[in-house]
Amino acid sequence: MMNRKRGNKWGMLGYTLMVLFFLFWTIGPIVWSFMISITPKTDTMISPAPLFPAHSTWKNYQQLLAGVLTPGKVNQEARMFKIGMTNSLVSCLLVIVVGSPVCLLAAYALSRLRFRGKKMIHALLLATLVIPLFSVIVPIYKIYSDLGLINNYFGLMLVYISAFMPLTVWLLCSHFESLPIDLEEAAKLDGCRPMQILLHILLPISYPVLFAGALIMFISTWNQFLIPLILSPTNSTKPIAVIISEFVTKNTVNYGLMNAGGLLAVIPPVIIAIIFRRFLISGLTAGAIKG
Amino acid sequence: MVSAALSMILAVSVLSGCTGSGAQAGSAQAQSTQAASAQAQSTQAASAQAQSTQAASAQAGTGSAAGGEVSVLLPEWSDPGEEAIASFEKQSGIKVNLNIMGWDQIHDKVTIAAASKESAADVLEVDWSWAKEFITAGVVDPITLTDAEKKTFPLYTAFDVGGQISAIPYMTDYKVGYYNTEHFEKAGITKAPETWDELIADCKKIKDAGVCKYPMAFTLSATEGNATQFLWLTLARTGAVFNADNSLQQANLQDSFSFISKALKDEIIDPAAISMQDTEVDKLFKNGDASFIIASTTFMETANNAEESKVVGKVAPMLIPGNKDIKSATFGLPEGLGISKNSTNKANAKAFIDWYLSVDTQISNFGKQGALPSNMDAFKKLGDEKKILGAEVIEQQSDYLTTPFPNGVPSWYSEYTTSAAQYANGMAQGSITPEQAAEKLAEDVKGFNAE
Amino acid sequence: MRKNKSSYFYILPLALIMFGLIYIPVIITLVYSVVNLNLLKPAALTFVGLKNYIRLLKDPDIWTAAVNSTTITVIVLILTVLLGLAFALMLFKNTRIKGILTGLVIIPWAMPGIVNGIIWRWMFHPSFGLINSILQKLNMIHVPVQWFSGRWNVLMVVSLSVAWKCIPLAAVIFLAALQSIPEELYESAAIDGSGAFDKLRYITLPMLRPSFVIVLTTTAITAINVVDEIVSLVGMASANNTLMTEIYLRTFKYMRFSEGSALSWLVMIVCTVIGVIYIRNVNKKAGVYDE
Repeated sequence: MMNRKRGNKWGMLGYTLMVLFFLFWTIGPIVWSFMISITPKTDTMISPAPLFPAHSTWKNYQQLLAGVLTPGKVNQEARMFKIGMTNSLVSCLLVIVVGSPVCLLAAYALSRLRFRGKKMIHALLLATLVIPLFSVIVPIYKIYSDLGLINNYFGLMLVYISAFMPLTVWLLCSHFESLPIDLEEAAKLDGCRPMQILLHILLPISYPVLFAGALIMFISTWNQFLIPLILSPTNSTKPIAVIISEFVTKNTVNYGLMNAGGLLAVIPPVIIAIIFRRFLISGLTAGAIKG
Repeated sequence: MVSAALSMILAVSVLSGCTGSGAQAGSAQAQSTQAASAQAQSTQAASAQAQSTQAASAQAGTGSAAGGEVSVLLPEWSDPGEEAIASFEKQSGIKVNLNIMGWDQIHDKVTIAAASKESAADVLEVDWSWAKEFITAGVVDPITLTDAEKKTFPLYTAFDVGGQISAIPYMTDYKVGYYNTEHFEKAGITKAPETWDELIADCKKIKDAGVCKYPMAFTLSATEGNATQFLWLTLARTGAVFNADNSLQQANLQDSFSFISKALKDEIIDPAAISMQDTEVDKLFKNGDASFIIASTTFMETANNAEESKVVGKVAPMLIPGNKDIKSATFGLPEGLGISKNSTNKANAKAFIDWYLSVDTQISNFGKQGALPSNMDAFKKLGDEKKILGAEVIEQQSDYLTTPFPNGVPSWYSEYTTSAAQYANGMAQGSITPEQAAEKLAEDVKGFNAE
Repeated sequence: MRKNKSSYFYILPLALIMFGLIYIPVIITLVYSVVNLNLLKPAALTFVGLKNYIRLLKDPDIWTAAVNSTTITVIVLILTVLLGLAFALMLFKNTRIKGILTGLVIIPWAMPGIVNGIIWRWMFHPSFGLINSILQKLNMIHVPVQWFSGRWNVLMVVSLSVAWKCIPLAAVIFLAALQSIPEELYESAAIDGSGAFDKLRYITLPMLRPSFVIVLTTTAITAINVVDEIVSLVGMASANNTLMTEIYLRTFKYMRFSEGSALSWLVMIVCTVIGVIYIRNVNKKAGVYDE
């Protein structure tokens, strides 16, 4: 935290500048995307580009949200959009709910417990980071096809978890390893078993990292494209990123619709991030170690 | 209408004379090694083959298949619509699992499935450029067509690779020229150009009159759309793109490259075309920023759609220009439906295809998506009802249907496209000369053939 | 030493997923890479040894792609670490808008890759892009800048777009680490008379060292693996291709599975070597329970 007394003015100035730059950098392109999404098809691709379209239209949003805005009259795009959002949400929630315990347990084992093969597993886990997705998608498709796991939320979830667990486990391990071991040693002497130590001592002070991990898993799953493209070809499991990519016709790409879809598609993750932000709080560590 | 059908038949008989011979031995060999490596699939393949010929010989209608399912993989623009599907399901008793996917992604999906000897869907979208690939890679079964069927779907030849037909076309698509009538009027041009030289002269007139800065719409980015342009350009300017042995007609390609290079230097083509994809170039014309474009047969519909275009009512089709020896030339880029090789529902697949290609469904699809039917009977009917915009010239253009590939599209077409687009783009940027571009392309093609 | 059988319970879920969904497919890919699997030339699968690898190493397109990938990765790393840390510090400050800012920060990451590509393409498009339009309106240029012609221009635009996407993740990781620094450290430093800058230098940055490693590694991996944005942005042409687009081209467009697999393995090997050298130098552990 910045020194409150002396540097307050500079601190606030620096902060404001930073926020402005941040808004420009992050939101600038988003604003442009919004402009594209309210531009009618006839007015697209004009040179030089107007900063604000001459005629604006909400048609793209109407098309996508038809189910919500005019219930009873649903068109194809709205239906697909809703399906995509629902599928994405289900996938992401599954991943967080199942993935978090898996990663937490594994991180605990890798940083605090002893067992044979620990170093090897740890190394192998980190090594998976370098594996590009394309190379393994073909064998995975074959395996899943044989097991009947295509188009299956459970199968998809497993693949997603396998993709994001290296990073999450790494984060958690690095966090555990930075905690002094005294408290846990003391608990051990008192007779606590590892699981109790994990749940009652480590977990409460690990919320920031754990929620960061969950947030990472949620968002990484949300914008997945290639995996679901191959492994979930039908509407029962197709996520939003794939749906948006399909807003093309043979000779034209519906840019307005795609941008509108993209903007709508980031709303759930943004809400989740804002919610999770509450949990990314420090101060829980204070007192736990000393006391 | 009758003349259109007759001219198509004429084109077909010319084309069918060209295909076959050399490629046939090669493909037969490929097929036998393929069967050998198919392991446990081989017996199934044999019985499936019998099944598909049996289904093919069944007459029109859905009589033989009753009950069961069929999975279909189509791009978005070929979706027949919920109502149509529901009526098929009712009529045939077959449940349809329709998967819509982006066009590029269909190819990816099918490729992966084929590598694992799986079936991505029973009925597959087959683009003309994938025709050979899909047979060689064991994605689709060859289809047998009766003579009557060949007459009804003359564009099947685009899918005829060395005697094997990989798919039946479900829509008609070939290149036609279009010009902006308003621009031509303002520049004082009274008739559409018939040769490339006339075209350039007209473009210069339009430019000099201040009507349009860059009259000719042409993409020069390193994308697939770029490569296909040089195919029809060469066909219309000098005639042959590939020789009988699948080597490149280097001199002809060089002529096309030089032509475009000069047009670019004379500022008839927008320099920004170097980065423009073909959909963006189409939009240029629809915004009224270009006077001349060569585009698909469906372009007329979209150019007259007030939601997308600013030049409604100002677009007219014209024959692709030629020169003193060639009146005009174009080639077909249809899409078709094929039956997956590893499918277990082949009879149902055929039933679905028959329904999709029937006159009523074709007409209904035209109504929905603007796709010209491949079924000649449907085409005739629509023409009689005057429903196709610019029908006269579009039909006339079909008299000049030819193909750049004497042996059918080769299996390395995808790699060819990447090379061609790259060299055309490099030439447009000035990093290589047209001669060098043609030379490198010919070399690459030699390499593809040698592998 | 107590044989900790129960430790296996903790690591089991992760190990199963890792071996089943990652390592088995990777081995299969290795097998693909040493046979002649080319769907367009079907023949009995025969072992061809290192033929595919040698062929790739001799191909000049591959080396061009390698340079492209490396350039993009380096630029992205620099931008991501700098801006990621800056944004994390900004988000760390306890103001009322920090929740909303967090929500906004993740938008680039949550946006589907295809839409990202479109947005940046339409910003930098020579004819109807926002940037050229603004520059022309400000009379800074008279002829539109051709952002997409020329290899280095393209790489620059691609790098910006990829960095834009990677920064949120870096920011989240840094933020979580910042939140985990015990407050007492800052308080005791304040008592000792340290100013804001000293605190940053002597407490914050060293405590963030493990996160630097994580951010650098994940960003590098993401930068190497990105495909959707690039295809959406500039398509595929030899001069602009990265290693990943080459893998995609060879595997899916040309159907040469063996080559694609071999290239994947080459990329993996190079990344692993670099990664190992790097990580060896920065590892610190707190320790395990002694028995």
